Amino acid sequence: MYVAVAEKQGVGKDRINIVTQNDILKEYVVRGAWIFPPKPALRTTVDVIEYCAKEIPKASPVSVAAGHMRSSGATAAQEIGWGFAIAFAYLQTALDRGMDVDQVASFITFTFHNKLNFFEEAAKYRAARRIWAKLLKERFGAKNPRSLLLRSFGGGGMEELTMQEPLNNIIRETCVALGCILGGIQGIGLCCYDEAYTIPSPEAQLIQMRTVQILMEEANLGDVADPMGGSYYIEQLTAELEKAIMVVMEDVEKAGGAVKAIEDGLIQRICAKGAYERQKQIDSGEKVWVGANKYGSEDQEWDVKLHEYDPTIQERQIQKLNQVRKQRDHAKVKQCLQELKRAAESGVNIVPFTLEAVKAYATIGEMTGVLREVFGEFKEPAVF
Amino acid sequence: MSQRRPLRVLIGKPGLDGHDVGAKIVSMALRDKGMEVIYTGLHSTVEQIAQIALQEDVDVIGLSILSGAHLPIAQKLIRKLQEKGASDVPVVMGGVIPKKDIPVLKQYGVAEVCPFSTSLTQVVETVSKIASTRKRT
Repeated sequence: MYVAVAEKQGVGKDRINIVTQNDILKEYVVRGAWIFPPKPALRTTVDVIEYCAKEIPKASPVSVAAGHMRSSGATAAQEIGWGFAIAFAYLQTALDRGMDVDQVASFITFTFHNKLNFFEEAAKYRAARRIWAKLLKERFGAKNPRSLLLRSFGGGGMEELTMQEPLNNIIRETCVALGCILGGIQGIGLCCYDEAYTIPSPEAQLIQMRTVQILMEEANLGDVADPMGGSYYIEQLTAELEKAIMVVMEDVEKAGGAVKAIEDGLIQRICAKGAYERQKQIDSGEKVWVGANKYGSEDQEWDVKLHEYDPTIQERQIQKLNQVRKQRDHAKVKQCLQELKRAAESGVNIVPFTLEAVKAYATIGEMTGVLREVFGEFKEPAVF
Repeated sequence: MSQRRPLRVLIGKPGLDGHDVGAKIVSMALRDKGMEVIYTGLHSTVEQIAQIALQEDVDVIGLSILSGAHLPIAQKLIRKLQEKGASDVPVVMGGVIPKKDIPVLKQYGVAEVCPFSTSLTQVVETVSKIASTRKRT
């Protein structure tokens, strides 16, 4: 759709600079935005990589959202280990299609999430960079030094935020930012203090942006690369995490690789169990939540200003959709959808056919509808 | 005394909301307390949830919603249960639910709401209390 809009605005594909998440395998573990089974879904993700390699050189077509698993029960080692296992599934599938490792590697970026323990988080990023560089070089034979760079975006920590004494969440997110900066992440997106209540208010969004700006431009935390390097504690943590991450990756390989482990529900089960154990620790007070399960005041009522939404949006959107449906060329839509379906059946790259359907104003529902007829629908494995 | 079957709970994730960590945690906690838990999985419709509740003769429905659509979904489910003659099955809700919406949900007929930050012990207590109430009637 971005490409269609760019085309409409007369912007060349070589000028499009876009990061899409497009990380379908993670969706089966957490977040759940899936339709098709993992194998055909993996194909569509790699179709996008392949299309970008040919048409949109500045794109970052996959951002592996390992952090979503972290926020849903994964340990630091599992976050990186599963994230890499998923990334390698995309990479290997692209290589199997004859693409070049140095072209694909720089297309893959990551989104990670932090807990507040910034020593461990900083060490996590250091360990992840070592493993990525090593495996890209040794296992995949990358030659371009750029392929060895772990391009990553960090932040998150939403599951660490409390409803009680909500302003304390600003301090919590500052700790998240510290772990990201000291560990050497390239971009940061923090959560807002009111997220346990509502969609963040404009004020809360401004505070989270200012937090990073203050850390970078007043506290000067970004002045030097790898400031933790050489500390006995951080080096020890980094080495331990490196080992633990490799064990997680080996376990996935033993289970038949990322796709098989996800089809069988293995990663989902470990992740859900991790979340359950963590919740029990919060309830028992073993995991401290200041102002919530420790030092909190029992009878205090907390609230924040809610981000009100406009209830007329739904109606306006429906009207817009109906308008588009009335005005578009129906024969053209039908033809595009048929061609998309045929492309899906034949195994060719579906992106150009999707683009044509988008330009004919086919809806997402219509496009996924024809793909569903070819690919089928995912059935969740039992997780507990 | 006649043998009583364990409390049977349906945990539902209605709509496209994919945030299922809470639903899974609550399911595991209820199961560990000896209840029978049926989890719908993601992307279920209100119609499906009401249908399963009826077929499985559950004692309570737990709905987990973090998408902000808790009000219309609750209203729809309560209506659907009434239509199917199952209005005696109580509904408990959890998720990101603002305080001001709790009285509205109760007015629709939701038995209890466990918003974000409710402890597992409290959730288990609430669900089991409400499920037991239904069994006695």
